[in-house]
Amino acid sequence: MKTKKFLVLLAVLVMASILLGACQPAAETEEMVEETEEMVEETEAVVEETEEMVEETEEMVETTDETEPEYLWTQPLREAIAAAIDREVIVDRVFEGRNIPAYHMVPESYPYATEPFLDKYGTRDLDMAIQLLTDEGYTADNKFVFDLWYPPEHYGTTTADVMQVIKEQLEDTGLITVNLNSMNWAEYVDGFVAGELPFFILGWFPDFVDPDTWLSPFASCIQSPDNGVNYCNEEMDTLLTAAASSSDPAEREDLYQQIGELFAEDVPTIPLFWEPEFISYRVGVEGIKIGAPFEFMYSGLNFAEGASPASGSSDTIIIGTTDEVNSLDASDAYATHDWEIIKNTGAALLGYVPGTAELVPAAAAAMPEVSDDGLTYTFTLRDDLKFADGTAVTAQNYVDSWDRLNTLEGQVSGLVQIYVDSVEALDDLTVVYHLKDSFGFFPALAATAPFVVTNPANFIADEIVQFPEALDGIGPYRMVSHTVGEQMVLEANPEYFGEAPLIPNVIIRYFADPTTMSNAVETGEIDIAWRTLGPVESIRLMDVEGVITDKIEAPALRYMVFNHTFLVEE
Amino acid sequence: MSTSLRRFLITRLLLTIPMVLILVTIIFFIMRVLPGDPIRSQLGPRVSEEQANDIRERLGLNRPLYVQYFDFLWDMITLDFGNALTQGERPIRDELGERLPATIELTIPAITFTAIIGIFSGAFAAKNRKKPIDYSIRLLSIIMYSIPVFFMGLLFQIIFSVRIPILPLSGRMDTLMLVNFNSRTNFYTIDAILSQNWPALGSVLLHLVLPSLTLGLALSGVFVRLTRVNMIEMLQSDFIVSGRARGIPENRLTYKHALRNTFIPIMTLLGLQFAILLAGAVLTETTFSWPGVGRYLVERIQLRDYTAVQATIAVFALFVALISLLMDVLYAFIDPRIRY
Repeated sequence: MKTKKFLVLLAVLVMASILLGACQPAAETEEMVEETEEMVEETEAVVEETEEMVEETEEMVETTDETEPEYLWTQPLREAIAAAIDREVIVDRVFEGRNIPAYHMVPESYPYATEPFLDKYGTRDLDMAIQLLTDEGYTADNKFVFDLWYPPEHYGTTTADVMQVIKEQLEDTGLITVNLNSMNWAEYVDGFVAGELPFFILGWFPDFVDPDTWLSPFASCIQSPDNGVNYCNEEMDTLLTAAASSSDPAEREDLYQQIGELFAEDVPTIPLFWEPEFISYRVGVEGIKIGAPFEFMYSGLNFAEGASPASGSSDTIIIGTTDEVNSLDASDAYATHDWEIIKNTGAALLGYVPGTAELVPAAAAAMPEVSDDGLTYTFTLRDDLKFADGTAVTAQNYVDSWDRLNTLEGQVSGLVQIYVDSVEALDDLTVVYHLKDSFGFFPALAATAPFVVTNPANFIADEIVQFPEALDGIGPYRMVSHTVGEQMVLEANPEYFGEAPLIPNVIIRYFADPTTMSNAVETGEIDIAWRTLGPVESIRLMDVEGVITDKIEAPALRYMVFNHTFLVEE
Repeated sequence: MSTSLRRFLITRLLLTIPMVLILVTIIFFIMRVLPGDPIRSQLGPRVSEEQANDIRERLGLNRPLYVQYFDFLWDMITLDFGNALTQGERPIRDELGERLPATIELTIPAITFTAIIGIFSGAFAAKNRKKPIDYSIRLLSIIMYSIPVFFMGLLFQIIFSVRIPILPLSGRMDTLMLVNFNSRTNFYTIDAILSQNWPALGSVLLHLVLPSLTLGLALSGVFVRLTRVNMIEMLQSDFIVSGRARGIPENRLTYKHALRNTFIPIMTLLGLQFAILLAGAVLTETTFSWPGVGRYLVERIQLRDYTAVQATIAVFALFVALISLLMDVLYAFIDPRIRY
């Protein structure tokens, strides 16, 4: 019985202990749950904070993306490429020394020209290129690889050879692999304007005789995207604007010196070489003067005594060209040959002393008066200006010419619209150009074809007339007939204000290919073979008896373009 | 004209309409699918994108494609063709009006040279089969066929204009004569005859000699071989054998009876070649600075001049259709068995 009581007591004790044990942990668990809840709350807070931080980080990453995406062309890489290229070798190997190495975007014959690329890199500095590439982390096993593009035909068949030499020169560093690619011109232009090409070749021909036309199109933030450069540097922009707006030669010289140095250091583009033109003419032809402005004025031509003109008469000279006429409307034309015809049948406000870059008054009686702020240029016209059909020229004709150019949206409109805001006639002989900003080079612009006054008898006000029946301008010649693709006939303008041309009749003959044109000058069918004779035919003609061939230092540049906003490919 | 021939002609002419329509539609869309556009192709980077857009707007290139297409179809129907988009934006009717006559004036004598040289040499070779003269003609025909046409042109220029200056080098007429020459039709031969300007006619004909001879010779190689093969087969046919047995002279058998019966394939190829030459004489036109339509088309394709290319190809299509129609009609005259 005692055992039974003992067992019952033991069972009660066990039960009690179990109950107590059960209760004790329960109380602890509640505490733990509370603690856990607190911890969850804390964790949630941390998560929220983390999320906020993540968001912030993402925002920061986005912000970083906007300001500094990973562009392919860093400054050291551009410098390395500039240092590795040897222009002398390109010119020797591809052009047998005919072309001229270019150490700046501005031709040597232009005002304020320097050679900053030669100063910084010499003719070539391979060690500098290798050092720069090594510093950027490239090794023989981890080479810098990129695509190099060119148009196979547009700049002549030598372009492919030039590209091959450049590829070899860059790969000489041992740290670069160049993939050469080509595509036809139409596709190529679309490609580089759309920013799809990382590194490519282009050519440039100036609009007017000033360094600005060689620099702003490639190095200013506004204009560089048009050429596929997409370069923007505040310091460069400030210098370019200051140089463009200044009309003080000393100040401009200093500024263009600084621009040159910065250009070679920051390398928006790499100038390669100047491509010369050739002119071949029969012995006895005199007076060919083509200087830095690259203007060929026919009025200075003459036949020496004993010459045998192709026409059989010393009153008529026949000039051959492979160019075509695109437009003879000064408010529209934007091609070298068109400008040549417009300048020979017209006269811009200012002109050049033949064969030089010296600006002189042409249709204007004197150089323009410039307002203190540089925004207004006042030209006084000559009082003896007449169109070839005998009608007098007044300042209003200049206003009308500007209105046509400004409203008809011709090909050349943009060139003038960037600079000119409005034009007004103060009286019959005074015409005022109001500019959008101060442009120190405006006189050089006023010597270009869009500043040749158009005769309302040839050019109606509300339409572009690319192929007028006649050109009765104010220049030394008037155009009397034009058989498209065959020939154009010019005769001396009886109303011309200057000295009458020495040869009164000029016939321009249009050829389809340079070989036929060179045969024509050789056989005496034409007196002069002009643009574009090409190197092969010119060199052949140098040995032909009775023909003289001259090399003309044309301002035709070939240069390499970095697309500065080309992103590193994943 | 028999009723059946009239019905045949009307059916063929009506079939030309959908043919040209399908062709120009394909060209319209292919030109626009091709990369590049007329503004950038001509001006490159000289104008900013904003200015390029202004010019596109002025030329109507920013309009929806279907509007441009129906506009173009309307231009075609009214035979207006609109204006070119590059090189002076002139009316295409004027441009083709200047260039098509130049090309036709070159093509007719060229194809005549081809026919005379090709057919008679081929027939002569067949008649003298396996004789030295046959081998020589065949060898020459292969040489003609394989020499690039521009090389032959240059060779002729150097020989006949530079070394022995008896023929003009290039162009359609003497430079000084052209100054006062009033051309109405742009066919200089016709204009010279109409105005009874005989020195001008002489000059035009002289200027035609080298380019048409070059083109004619280059094409004649194919005709020599084609005529020869067909003639050999024909000379072995029953009617020639029986003719020979009846004592008909060999020359009469060869050049009258056999040759006439080989004309069908030759005429077909001549017709096709004539059509091809309209657009395909690019190299000859370039070598001789001939302002023809072949060069025009190539230049405008490079410049992506949509309207000029479309119009030129439409005109070609019409020419090809008309020439093949003409050939079909001519078959009936050559072969009396063919009736429509």
